[in-house]
Amino acid sequence: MASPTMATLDVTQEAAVKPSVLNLADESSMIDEVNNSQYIATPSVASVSWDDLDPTDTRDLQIKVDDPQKHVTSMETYITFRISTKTSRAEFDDSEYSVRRRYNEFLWLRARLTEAYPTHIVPPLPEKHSLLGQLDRYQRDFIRSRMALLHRFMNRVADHPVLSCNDSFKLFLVSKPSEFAVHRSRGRSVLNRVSESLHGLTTAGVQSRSPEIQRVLDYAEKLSDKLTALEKASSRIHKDKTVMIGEMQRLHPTLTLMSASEPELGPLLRAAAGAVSRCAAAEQAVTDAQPAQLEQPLREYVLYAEAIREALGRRDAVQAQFEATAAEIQRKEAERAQVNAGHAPSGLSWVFSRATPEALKAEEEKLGKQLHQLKVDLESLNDRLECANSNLLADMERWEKLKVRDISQLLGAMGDSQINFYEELGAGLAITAGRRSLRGSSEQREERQSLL
Amino acid sequence: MDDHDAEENGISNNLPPEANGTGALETPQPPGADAAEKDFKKEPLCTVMEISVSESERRYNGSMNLTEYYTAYLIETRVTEPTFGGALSRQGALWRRYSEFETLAGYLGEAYPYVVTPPLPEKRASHVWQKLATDPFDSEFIDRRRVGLESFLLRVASHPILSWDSIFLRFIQDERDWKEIVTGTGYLEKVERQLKSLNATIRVKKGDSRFDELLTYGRELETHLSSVLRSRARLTDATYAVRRQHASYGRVLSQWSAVETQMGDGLQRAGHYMDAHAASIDTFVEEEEVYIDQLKEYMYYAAALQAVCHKYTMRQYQLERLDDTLSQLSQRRENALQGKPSLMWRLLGSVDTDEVREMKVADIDQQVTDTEQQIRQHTEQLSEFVEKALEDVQRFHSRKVKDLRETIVNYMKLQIRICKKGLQTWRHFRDCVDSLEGQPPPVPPPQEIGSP
Repeated sequence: MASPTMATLDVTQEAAVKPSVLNLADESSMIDEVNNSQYIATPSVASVSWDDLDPTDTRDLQIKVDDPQKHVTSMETYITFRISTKTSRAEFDDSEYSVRRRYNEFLWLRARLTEAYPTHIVPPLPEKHSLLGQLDRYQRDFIRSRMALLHRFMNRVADHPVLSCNDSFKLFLVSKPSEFAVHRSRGRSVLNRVSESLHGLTTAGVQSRSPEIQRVLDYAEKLSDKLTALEKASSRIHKDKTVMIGEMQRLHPTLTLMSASEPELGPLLRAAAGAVSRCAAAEQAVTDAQPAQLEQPLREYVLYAEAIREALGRRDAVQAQFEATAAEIQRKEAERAQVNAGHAPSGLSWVFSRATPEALKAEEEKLGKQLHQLKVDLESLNDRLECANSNLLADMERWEKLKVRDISQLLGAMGDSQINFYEELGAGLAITAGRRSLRGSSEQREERQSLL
Repeated sequence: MDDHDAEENGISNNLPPEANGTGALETPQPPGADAAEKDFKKEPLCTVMEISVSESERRYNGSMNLTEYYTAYLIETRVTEPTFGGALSRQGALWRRYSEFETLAGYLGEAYPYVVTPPLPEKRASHVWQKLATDPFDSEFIDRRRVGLESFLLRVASHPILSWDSIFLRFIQDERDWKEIVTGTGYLEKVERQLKSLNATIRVKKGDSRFDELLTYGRELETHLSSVLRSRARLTDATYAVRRQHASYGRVLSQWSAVETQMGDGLQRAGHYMDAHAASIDTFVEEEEVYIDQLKEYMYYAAALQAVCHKYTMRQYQLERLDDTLSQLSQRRENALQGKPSLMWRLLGSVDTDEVREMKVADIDQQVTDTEQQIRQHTEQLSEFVEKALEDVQRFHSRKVKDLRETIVNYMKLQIRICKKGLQTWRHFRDCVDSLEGQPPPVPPPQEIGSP
């Protein structure tokens, strides 16, 4: 393990430094667990690992996010994830890539994408800090959840016909740390300027939106509400189920102890104890599957609702600019009309100078030029607005289909999980209750008599 | 006789009179009825009479300043064996309140100390872990208490000795003067003495080890059942909470369906099944409580078993004290023979005259004879107690095995039914989810217009 050579490098170059990568085999903490955990399947990626080639995944760009590693430098501690890419696209030199990226770099990528395609719905990233209390409890869960959502993000972008062609995206997938650091620092100042200007505009607001656009906005809000409510309910269920499982586990030793002091009831009590702990194990399996099956997909869609609202905000910004320009044109037209009528336009500079015919003529020319420019601007803004609207609506249509598929998979997984649980449990109990040895000899006699 | 000293310590050398169990009621009997009755007494009362506690009724005792509300329970009896003549009437019904049941139970415990007396249901829910109805006027609580009282009467009626007790027979058939008659047996004083003796720490030198084992067993049974009941209560609370959360799922899915176009119908129906899943828990919990009450009954039965052991210990202790008295007396006789009354001799050095000496010796001899007779009586009664107690403990064990087996198996069958219902519900849910994606394959999205 190379020791960090940090002395004179500035912060933006930290990716070029070889920080000490802790061998986490000796740390009994979070990361080991996550390393060994199952590859988190998402709707877009059917395969479990690269090793077993999944013939059903025919996409020409497949990405996997896994293998979190902790990095410790003298400046900070952070976690990187391995991004593995498999592609048959022409614009990639190789067919396979593997790089390591940290969360901040994902943030950078998303910023580039929203900058490049402001009126598209850019898939969401997991939040910087966890909002749900339960994730703070174990950092392991937090990292697992973040990694799953990062995986989803990458695949959403890869599946998007426009976003996946972006240069920054490609760089993100293929660049070695040093190259990547260079690209990152180059893009930074541009980003700041653009985001500032956009931010200034969005606060201006729009007069009215077309019905389809308004519908999208309303829908995004309502969806966010409903999914958040589902999240809350499932979080409470998780807590209560944990209590339930604990009590079941407590019952097992009690029943076993009791069976020791009851000679005739012994077998029955032990069978009951066995049934209880099987039940506890089955419930535990369902609860363990809940994050990947239910909580992570729900969280993604809650964040997606936010991403939709962001895209709408950017589209609104274009409309606001358009409307502002149109309003400016109206004002200038009114001014020109005034000048033509021989009046001095209102304005401080005219208070002191006289409204001579020459001055008025010069003003009229100036206004004319301005109006001409404004009208050109207006037309290009109109084009931009129309682009923005159709991009957004097209993206929504694409997103809608994905959503239906994802939601039905999410709810389906929930259903399947429960069906398996009840099937297994019911079968186990039936066997236990039906066992001859557990019933009293008198009951068996009665049964034999009733059969005669 | 050291009666007074003994009374102060709460221990009497007078043994409580054992009931002789003839069970004849002081009402005019048809001729030859006695003979017929004696044949029936080989089997417990339940073989010739049906008993039930069929109804409850809210009543009040209106008086000067206080109006006391209480609940009365209807006891119905019906003679099933036509040749049995020992009942007051072929069919009877009378109302009794809980405190009267308590009196009966107290009396039976004292009159038949070697019997493991069936327990009463609780006066009020004394265990904090039970969040169910604890209000004595809550109808659910009253009904469960009614069932418990019926179980109590049936258990007494199934007991070969207890069921023929005259006080019991009066209790279920005859309202007249019952309170006075019971009080007349003097059982209350014995209960007080019993309570006092329990407070004193009694050490026996050579008790029957079988009772030590029984006491240990009784304590274990009580502890185990108490643990089981406590865990189960928490388990049911958590299960109930989880199920209720599914009602949240139902509500959210239903609200969500109103916002969706394609998925609306499927989500609505899925939500409906979540509501059903939440609602179905109520009937199951109700049924579960029946089995829980049966386990609770045995927890109190275990206490009754321990009480029999205490009664044995008390009797053994009394016997040992008599033995001690005897050895003290023989020592005193020695002293008296030598004419050495301790106090006078030490103070004045005087010795008794022959006359006085003889008188004292004769007096002591009388005491010795009396004590020896007491010891003989006591030993006989003690061995009778031991024999009857161990016999009744056997009865208790076989009843317990049968009852607990039935309870546990029924509980398991209930769980199986819960599984079946759950399975059905979730399968329906899965069907609804499958229908979410029922649309034709997606139309390719409109031409993308790239970013400016």
